[in-house]
Amino acid sequence: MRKSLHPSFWLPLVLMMTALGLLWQWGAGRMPYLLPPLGAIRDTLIEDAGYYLSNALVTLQEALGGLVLGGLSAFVIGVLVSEFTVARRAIMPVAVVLNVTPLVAIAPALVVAFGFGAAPKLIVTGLICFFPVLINTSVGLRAVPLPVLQVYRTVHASRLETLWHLRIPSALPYLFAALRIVFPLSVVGAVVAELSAAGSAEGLGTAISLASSMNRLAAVYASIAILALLGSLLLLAVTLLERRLLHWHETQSA
Amino acid sequence: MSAEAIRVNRVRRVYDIGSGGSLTALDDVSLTIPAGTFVSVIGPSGCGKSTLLRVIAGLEQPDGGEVHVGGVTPAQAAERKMLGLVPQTPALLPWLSVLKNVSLPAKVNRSAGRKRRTASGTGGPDMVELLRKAGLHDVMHKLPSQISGGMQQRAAIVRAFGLHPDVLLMDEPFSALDEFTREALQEQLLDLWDELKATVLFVTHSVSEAVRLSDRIVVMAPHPGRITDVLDIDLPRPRGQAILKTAQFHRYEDLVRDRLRGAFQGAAS
Repeated sequence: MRKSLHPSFWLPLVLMMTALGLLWQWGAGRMPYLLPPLGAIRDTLIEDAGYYLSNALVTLQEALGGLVLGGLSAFVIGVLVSEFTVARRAIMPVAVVLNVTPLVAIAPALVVAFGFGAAPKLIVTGLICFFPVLINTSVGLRAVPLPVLQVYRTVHASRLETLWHLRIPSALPYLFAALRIVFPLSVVGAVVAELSAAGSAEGLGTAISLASSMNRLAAVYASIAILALLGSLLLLAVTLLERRLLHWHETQSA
Repeated sequence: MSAEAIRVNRVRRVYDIGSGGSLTALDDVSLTIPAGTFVSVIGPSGCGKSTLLRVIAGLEQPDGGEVHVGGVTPAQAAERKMLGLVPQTPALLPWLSVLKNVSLPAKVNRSAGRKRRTASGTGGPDMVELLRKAGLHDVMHKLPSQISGGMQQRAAIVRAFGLHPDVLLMDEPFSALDEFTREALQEQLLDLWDELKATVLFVTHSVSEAVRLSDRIVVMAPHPGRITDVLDIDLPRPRGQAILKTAQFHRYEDLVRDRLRGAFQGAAS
């Protein structure tokens, strides 16, 4: 029998989910104005499947767009700051300040500046993805053991060759550690941006603020459930990618 | 190639150890190594033997004196791909197979590699053949983490020999291995060296290793780091396992040990 089919593998989770479900239903029965019954959430998901799907796609696009934007620029800047001390001194303090500034506070300002279109959402998502990738890339690029660097210095490997053959592959495990954080986080960025743009028309964040203003609790929780699913799928995607690319790394051996 | 592979002339290297103190790792060290010889450097820890190797490799700049490798500075020697380095740890890249690991040095600084091949009139090194000679043929498509420590160190040696370097610099490459593996690797190293004829500078702290491998042993002493003795080892080659038991071999071991003790006590007094 495969390990995943054995009851000891799936039973704990099933029991946990059942317990949580029962607790939920008990709460929903006592406080119907605070918590919708699971059945109501299911019903709205089935009845308005098209509505949720199209909004989920919008949010997913924003998340992925911001991910590419923030991830790529963070990687490029990570290479710059690890290669050039001047760049590190100029950029890192700014990046740190940007990171500790609450994004929820920046988002409304961005909406004012860039309107209700995709731009502020991409920027907020990009910003939220930026810092973990930047830090891990710049640490990973410097993680090449000294003896390795010395071997290739004695054959006069150029800076670019050292970067390409030694530093970037060494940085990959660090990069993936960051991606496992920012892939699910990108959904957070997209939703925060949608919630801050009161006039925007699409996305699950917008769906949540619309539904809660109309007191449609089931729709709120349906959107939340889809957001959780989106985040999980993104995490799954990055894990599969990591397994393919980092099969050599010790974290991948069972 | 000039007859002198390595010339170290009155080299000083001083480390700053903070709070105004300093450590003289190399004090007025001079050494000439003829091309094609196998020279070991031996001495107690802190005698500057690894520093000497790093200065010759161009990884550290001397604070005084000069170093020439094949008539040029270490930096120029590196530019021309005349050097091969085997560090204390194998320093293989964990994401590349053994074959790709030993082939990577050929892929960097290509123009120097081309010039060397044109000058010598030979083709590129056949890494598969070298791996076969080192007994790594069966594992060449495996990752470093999938082979033993002894095999990893052999791969590191093949990587260095694959460059067909004029000068091979080895920094205690066998120190992390068990006795049996070490002796087997010494024999393979001698076989490879016999075939590819490079000048070897071999840093070690094992007396029997130094005697077995070397044409000449340089004894160093610490505080300050300096050369106290240069001994020629006049044993017949090839030096298989059998030579380890001969009386002549033991006499050389005792001699080196004596000189080492002298170096140590001289430092203590």
